[in-house]
Amino acid sequence: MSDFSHENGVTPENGFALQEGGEAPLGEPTFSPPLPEKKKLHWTNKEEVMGWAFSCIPLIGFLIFGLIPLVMSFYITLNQFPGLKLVSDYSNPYFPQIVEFVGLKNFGTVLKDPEFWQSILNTLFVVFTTFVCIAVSVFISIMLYQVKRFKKLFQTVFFIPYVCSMVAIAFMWQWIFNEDPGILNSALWAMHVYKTPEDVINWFVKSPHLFRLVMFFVMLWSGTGFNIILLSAAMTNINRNTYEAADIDGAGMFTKFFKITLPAISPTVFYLLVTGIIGSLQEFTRYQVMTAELHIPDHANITIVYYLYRQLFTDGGGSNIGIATSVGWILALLIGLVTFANFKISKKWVSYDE
Amino acid sequence: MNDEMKTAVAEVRMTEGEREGQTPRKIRSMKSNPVNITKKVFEYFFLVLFLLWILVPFYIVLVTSFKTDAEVNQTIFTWFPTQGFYFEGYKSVFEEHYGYINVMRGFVNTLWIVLPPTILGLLTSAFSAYAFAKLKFRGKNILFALLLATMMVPGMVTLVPSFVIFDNIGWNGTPLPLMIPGMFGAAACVFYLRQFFMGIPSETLEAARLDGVGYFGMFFRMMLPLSVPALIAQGVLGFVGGYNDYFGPLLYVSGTQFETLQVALSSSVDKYDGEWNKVMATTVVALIPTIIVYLVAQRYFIEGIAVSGLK
Repeated sequence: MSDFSHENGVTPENGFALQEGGEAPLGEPTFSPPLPEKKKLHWTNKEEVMGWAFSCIPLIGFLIFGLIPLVMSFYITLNQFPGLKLVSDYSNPYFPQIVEFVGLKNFGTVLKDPEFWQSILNTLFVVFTTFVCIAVSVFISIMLYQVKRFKKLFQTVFFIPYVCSMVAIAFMWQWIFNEDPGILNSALWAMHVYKTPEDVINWFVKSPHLFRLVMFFVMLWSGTGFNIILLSAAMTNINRNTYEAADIDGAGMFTKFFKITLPAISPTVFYLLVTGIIGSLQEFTRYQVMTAELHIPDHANITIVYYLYRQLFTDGGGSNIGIATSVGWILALLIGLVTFANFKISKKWVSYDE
Repeated sequence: MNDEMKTAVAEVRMTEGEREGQTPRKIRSMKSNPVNITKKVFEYFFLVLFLLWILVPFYIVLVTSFKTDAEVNQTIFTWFPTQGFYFEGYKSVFEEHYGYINVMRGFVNTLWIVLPPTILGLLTSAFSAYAFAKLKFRGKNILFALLLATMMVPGMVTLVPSFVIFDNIGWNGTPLPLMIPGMFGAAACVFYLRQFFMGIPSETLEAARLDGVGYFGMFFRMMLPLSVPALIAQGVLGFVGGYNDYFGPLLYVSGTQFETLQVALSSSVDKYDGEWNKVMATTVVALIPTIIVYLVAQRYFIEGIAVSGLK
């Protein structure tokens, strides 16, 4: 016990803790007479210091790289910065140059821009795709739950798209849907759907609907792996005897799905919905990589984040940062609202009891 | 919540045999039933269909990357390189420069940008998680609540101000904005590791303390070795996420000598206008590292994800 003898007297560590906490007069346990039955007293004040030092590192990171930008975002969103050039020469500091206080005008500019509303529609399409992805994942997970042979192989392969980079996935599908030569068009030639070269479809720029169809397949391909892993893990919790009992009662496939499977996996489905919707509202990479050089009709390729990105780099970058930040706030508000609604609706269908 | 997670980890770790143990024997004997056989055929049909849906695009990419320029430009796609295997696509990947850098340089850049914040961030997260899980100090709960609250701050709101700040302090065009913030650890990672650390019995630590082991000693000699699986799980997820990140590098290092692989690749399509064998060769090169990491560390991926799913 010699290690802990300092607990009874004033030691450098105790003194340090006094300065640190400054609450000693209130009768902190560390300064009260030692009570042998209380295990707590084996821990010295050094623990307080270490606890704070260790636990605070991520919070300090947030203060610098999260809180300062957050506070600044209010300032930026309420002002305009005409002529501001970002990514200019670094030897010449320029901020702030001309700052005009405009209040909420930036929000008005965004909300009046038809392209912004188009970007909302396009993003809602991504959200819709997420629903389809989850539905397909549930179906595949149920199939996986039933089988034993090759189960591991299936699971391994189904997850691979999740670790692939969006850029690579974008290239892969650009090649598949390319006009000439392209995989799909080649297949359509081979199946004699195309008779003359005039029939050949450019899937990206022919119409906004075809473009959405292309993106639907891209997202369906890359958006199921994560879901299937989580759903499969959730399904292992279902007691197989429940199904057996249902079989004896003569329950059909759909009854079993809605009465046994769905309630058991509903918390996971809910989690996938929440994270999936938040993710798809911020869709950017796949659209940007695939369409940066193309002219897609009706701006069907501009998602909300892509819109923000374009505002940020208008005129080489800078002058529209007020508008770009407003878009960020609108998006954050949208995410908050949708998530809130999601939680509200979940009370009706998610069952947390086994 | 904690128990829920432990159950999830246990479930994921459960071997196949244990899971099958849940099936009563009499069900197995029903297998020869023709209805069950039809059902199995039905199930495998969909699974194989889905397997092909995932794998065929990979095959198309791979086979295209081995084709000659002449063959790749034929209107009709062949499932096998009829003119033999050509490696010109791969050769150009490693020799040519797109814009600013070549693929190897992009790969090295990516490692330099991703590995230090992943490893250091994991360490700082682990320190923080250790404090929240095992140390007693005033204000612990408030600090933890604050940490969780930081996860609520929407990234899209801070994106532009961060960009402006980094631009002002001259970090724009350098990898620093991609590296430094991550080194402070991530709230989600702290949360995950804290759950794991709480499962380590305090008695063990108490015993070590009585032997005169300090806080750093306990952390490095006990907590870290005991939580290697959790650390690997978070590490591989962080690495793959960073390796595949596109938006961040696009904002900060695009058009500089620090371009990451993903940004360099995205400009390769313009460079190889219509030379799809070369584009597909770059795609293969970009895909292989993460797929290898996944196949090697598959167990940790699944664990890391399955637990994060119960947050």
